[in-house]
Amino acid sequence: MRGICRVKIKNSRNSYQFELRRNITILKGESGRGKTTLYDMIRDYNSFGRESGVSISCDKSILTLEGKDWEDNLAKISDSIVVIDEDSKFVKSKDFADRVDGSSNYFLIITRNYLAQLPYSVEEIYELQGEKNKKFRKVYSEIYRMYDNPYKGALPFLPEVIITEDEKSGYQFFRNVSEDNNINCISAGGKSNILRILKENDKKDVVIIADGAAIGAEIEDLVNKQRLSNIKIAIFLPESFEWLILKAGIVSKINENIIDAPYEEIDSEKYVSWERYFTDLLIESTKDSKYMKYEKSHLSDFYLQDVNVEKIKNVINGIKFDNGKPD
Amino acid sequence: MLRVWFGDRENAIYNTSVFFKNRYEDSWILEDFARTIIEDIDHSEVIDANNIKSPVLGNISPLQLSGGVKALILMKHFPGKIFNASNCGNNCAKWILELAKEKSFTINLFHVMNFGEDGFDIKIMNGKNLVVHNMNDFLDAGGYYLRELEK
Repeated sequence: MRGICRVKIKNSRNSYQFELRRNITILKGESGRGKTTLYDMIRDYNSFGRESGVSISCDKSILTLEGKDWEDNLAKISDSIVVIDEDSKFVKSKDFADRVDGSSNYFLIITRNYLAQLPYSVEEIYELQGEKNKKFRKVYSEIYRMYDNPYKGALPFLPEVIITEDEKSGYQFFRNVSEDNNINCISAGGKSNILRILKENDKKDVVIIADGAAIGAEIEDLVNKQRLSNIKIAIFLPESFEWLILKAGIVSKINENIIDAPYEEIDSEKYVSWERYFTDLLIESTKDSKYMKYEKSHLSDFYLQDVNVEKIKNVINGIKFDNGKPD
Repeated sequence: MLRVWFGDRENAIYNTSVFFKNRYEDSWILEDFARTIIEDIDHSEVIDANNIKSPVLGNISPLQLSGGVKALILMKHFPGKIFNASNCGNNCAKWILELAKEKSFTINLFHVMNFGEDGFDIKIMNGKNLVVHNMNDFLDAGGYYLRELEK
């Protein structure tokens, strides 16, 4: 599936209105706000159709998934929205993550669990807002892709340490920028290690740089650490490092809309997260150029040339890489 | 004292709503504890054991209470069982701590619940003799064990 799915669900007492933009959306939040009621209404509609008294407006089928036969049932569903309630333990399993990867469905998962195996976006984590007329509200807010709820006056932020999720091209880039400015750049070697590296640097001002497209499982703990720490922690989450390069305009002939709103371009069956789409797009766009050819494993010198470094830094409005004037 | 296991445990009750449906008793709904948490968390009023007035859903049965309220009622009445507290939102955290003041019990968590800014005593069962007293230490412990379990 691709594109934005707009959904309206109502009965005489409740109405829900929301949009799903990527293959995985997480719904969480406080108890008693109507998450399970939403699930029950969809389940009633699945069982009894319009006779249930529930009305659903959506271009796609919207189906609930639960129980021990979830795998067999999911295998029969395609090009639909699949909704899973918090009581379903299978969302934690590797089998479920494997089924999501390559699926033509969009998944709306009601859960607070740490789901390390699912690469969901920081942008697609919601809670319910409203009493009778409920809408989805983003849990994490940003300015310049700096999360969570930073006030503009604190930016740009000058770090002592930069922690990158990436250990390859993205790390090479930020290590190069950091070396020139006496900033210690550390690769976490994966998103689930960021919290540990952060704890090891708990007396320094830190910027975390990770792929927003897939960091969803980590964000709650990182934001809580940001809130509880005595030091300054900034969390910079572009879609991915490749997205940053594309956004910087170093590679020509890329339509700006595809970078900022690629909903119609990204097929969930092919790309489990947007980060992989932007990697493919950058590789494809530069494959015929001897100098620009992009490889994730090793960043070519082209991207480390001063002029290109400056272009990429110009996209990163929230981070100050030196003591001079703000970037 | 509250005891917390991060991750799955044998014999723990993951689907607390199903367990509640099959095991709750009318008298539990009429207790002060249930009335108070139903008002605080679900913004609803207990009329009688089978009738709860919700501002959004109208008159509902106990089966339509939130997952968090059901889990809290179970924790109170089955202190010897381990219930999944990741079915509880952060607005249930203070009530879990309140219950643990009366009687020690164990919950399991699949995320790091926010127990607030005040101090507390929580024993982390994944570690040896590990007791934490504030949210920062609880986050360090929970963050570590949840990620270790995924490896």
